[in-house]
Amino acid sequence: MAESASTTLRAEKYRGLLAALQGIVGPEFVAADPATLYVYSQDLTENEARWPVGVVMPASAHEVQRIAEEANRHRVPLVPFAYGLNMGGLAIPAEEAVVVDLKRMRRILEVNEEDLYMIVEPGVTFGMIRAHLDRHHPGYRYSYPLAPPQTSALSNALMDGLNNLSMRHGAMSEWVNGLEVVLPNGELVRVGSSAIVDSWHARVPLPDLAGLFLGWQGATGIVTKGALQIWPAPPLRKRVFIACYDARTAYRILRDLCRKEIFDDLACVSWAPGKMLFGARGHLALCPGEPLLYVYGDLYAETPAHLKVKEQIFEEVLGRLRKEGCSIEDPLDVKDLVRINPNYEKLAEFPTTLDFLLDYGPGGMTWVGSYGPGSNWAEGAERCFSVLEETGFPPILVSRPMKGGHFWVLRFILHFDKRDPREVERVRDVLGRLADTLLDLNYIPYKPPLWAVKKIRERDRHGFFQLLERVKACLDPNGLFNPGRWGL
Amino acid sequence: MLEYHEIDPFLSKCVRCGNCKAVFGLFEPSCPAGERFRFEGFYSSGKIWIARGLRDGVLDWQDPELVRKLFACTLCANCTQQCPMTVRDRIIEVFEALRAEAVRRNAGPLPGHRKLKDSVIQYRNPWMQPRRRRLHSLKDLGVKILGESTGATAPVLYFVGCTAALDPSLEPIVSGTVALLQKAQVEFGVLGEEEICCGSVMLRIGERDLARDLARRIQRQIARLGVETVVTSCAGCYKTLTQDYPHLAPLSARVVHASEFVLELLVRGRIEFDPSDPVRVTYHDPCHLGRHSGVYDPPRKLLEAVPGVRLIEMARSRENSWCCGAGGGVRSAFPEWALETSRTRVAEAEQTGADALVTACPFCLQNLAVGIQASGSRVRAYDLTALLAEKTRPKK
Repeated sequence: MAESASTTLRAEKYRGLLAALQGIVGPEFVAADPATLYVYSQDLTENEARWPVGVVMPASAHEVQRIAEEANRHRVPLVPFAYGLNMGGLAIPAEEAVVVDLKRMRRILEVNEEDLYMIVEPGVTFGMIRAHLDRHHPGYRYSYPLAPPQTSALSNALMDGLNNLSMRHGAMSEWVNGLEVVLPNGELVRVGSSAIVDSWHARVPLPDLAGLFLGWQGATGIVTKGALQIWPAPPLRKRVFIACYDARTAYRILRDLCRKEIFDDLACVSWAPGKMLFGARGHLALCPGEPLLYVYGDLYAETPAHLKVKEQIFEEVLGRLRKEGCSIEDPLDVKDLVRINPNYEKLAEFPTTLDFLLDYGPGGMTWVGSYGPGSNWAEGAERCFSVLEETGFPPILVSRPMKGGHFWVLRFILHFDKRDPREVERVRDVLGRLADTLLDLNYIPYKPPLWAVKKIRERDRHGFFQLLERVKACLDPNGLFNPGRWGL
Repeated sequence: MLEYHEIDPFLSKCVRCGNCKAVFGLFEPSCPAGERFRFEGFYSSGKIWIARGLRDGVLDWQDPELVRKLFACTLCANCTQQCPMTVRDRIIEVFEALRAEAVRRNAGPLPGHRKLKDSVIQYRNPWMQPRRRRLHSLKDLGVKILGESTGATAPVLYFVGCTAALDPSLEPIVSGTVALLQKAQVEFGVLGEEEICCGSVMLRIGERDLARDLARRIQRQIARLGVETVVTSCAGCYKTLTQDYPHLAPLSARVVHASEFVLELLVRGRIEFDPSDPVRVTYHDPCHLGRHSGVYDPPRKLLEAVPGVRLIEMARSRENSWCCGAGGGVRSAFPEWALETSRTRVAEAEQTGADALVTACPFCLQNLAVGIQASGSRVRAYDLTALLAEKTRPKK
């Protein structure tokens, strides 16, 4: 009851602000009751809960501007919240703040086939995009993460997410052609070509001010609109799985295939999620002789002949690696796997519900995801597997080369019981060890929670965080937009 | 049916992945409450997290906003179809257990529900209608009244249900079902003014003691009559009698929905359909019949069996059907939202180009009819039995 009582006191303290917000969006779209605040105070991760003072739900950029003005007037911070699936505590207020839930802003405003972009609001999910493109623009595609479909595509892009076409085209922030942003003082600005001309085609040749907002976790502005690239969707696709027995072989397969530029996606999962896909629960163990890692990839093609050429190159690469001593199983077509076990359907097409990962543990789930150089990938996988083995967690790895192999992903997922404080502490400890290991190998955590930011900051030797602080102070002198993020 | 003390294992599993918010594949909204109120606490996942807060003593049962959230749900169960977790089938039971606990703690139901409860106590139906009013819908139908007052018995009982029996606009459901049974020469009867509420609405608003009392009365009635089969044209009664009664007061008779029973009659050649003018129909799956009971095909098979009828599916159909908006006590407590949800469904029906919106639940029909009227829609709403009765002839 203590939290409810303090919520009542907070509501009293912020009565003026909440009334002003009601005047902007209407009474039904402002909430400060304990049940609402409780739900917004936490996510599924180990990050500590903190109750916001209220939640406001704007329907337009104009309303977001007015909310920012009121926040300034009352000196109360704002925390953006897009569609509801939040990781890393990124939408949990770090101090007393109003959460700005952007779910009502869910329009796909334009799909420009000729210039290969779409303009979306922050409440547009991957699912909505997939359905819209399939229905109205079947020749075009966006990129989807290994995450549930009810997540905001724009948030994912703003926070450097990795999706199934990231192997070819880079982190999702690179797919952003332009942004419309409400600044902490309430001004509405655009970055990218649409700031100057009536088109959202690119960020170049202007100074790239999108960098003031990409990766900032809402600490410099609330994005109300964004142009995201779309790409032609080739009519043919073949998804293959290749089992291998050690991280160094997996790296060789991914690296060599990546450089042939025949795959649109290349990724890798460890044995543990493979077992979970088949419904394994409880203690997971790698049996003798079982593959350690599964590489999977998508071959797209315009014609059967085109696909055949790609398949030939693919086979040649595998053949050469085998001659060099790599132990690699024959590739399997996902369609055959689905025939053997329909559960494979969940990995055959994106977006996916991801049930096998979500439904594994007793309700707590977290991860450390990082971007780093391919040259350290295999060592990173091996060392992090050791950390997980020592600490009793199954090695759940999701990984891929990014942007043709210019950088790579190492992402480790942990399930835990949020109700057990000792378990939560244990998870925090393991996450810290994983992050240290990764940073030692030049892998930097992405979408970093507050604890990971501290670790990143400790490695700053060249004034990076000072520069961040100066930019933040310039854009948000009152410290009102998602304060605490990036330690600012 | 879960008791409140049994829900704990289901609460921890929800990670708020958001899959419950939309129909997978179509990615159209699935949750009427979330779509109306938008805050996280109104979605299925948010309610489960609120239940955690209650369990942990962080939230207060006496908070009226919290209780409002618990009751702001049509219990349509669309979330159970979208949720990827293994506990998904128990979500609605968790919500009903929370409502029952709210009632036990005198925190619920909502003010809009009180008249339903009072009416059930006073009249044994939720419509504030005297019991003899049930006879109006049966007038001139030549149907046998079973029970102690008449001493008549029959192997089949047509359990009319309160809504169809007491809303004059729904009398075609009663006359249609009776006509179908008569044309097929089924030996059946009704309870007339001795029929009482099955308790469905009481269960949905958390009034379990009252529902249990009604269930025991009906259990005794049916046992005394020696009825073999109970046929009902109400999806709510059907769900309650088949799924809730085993926990409250198991029945000695098998229970079938009218759509299942009429399909059996058709398959056995006891009825035939007349050729009719071409008509395009779309079918709205009642939540209690579809998602809750898994009865999707019989109504469709019947419609498709009528010469001239062309069935066109709505985008969200079968397991993914959008709720009519009335259920779970929502229409009593949140009438504007119920209407809004109905209008969304009517618009979806219009998009199919259908002339008629057919359903198999009096409560859905009532709410859809209101939605049609409010929308000024050209679509006409029918109950399945009423439509079929118009097009049926006895087997020669």
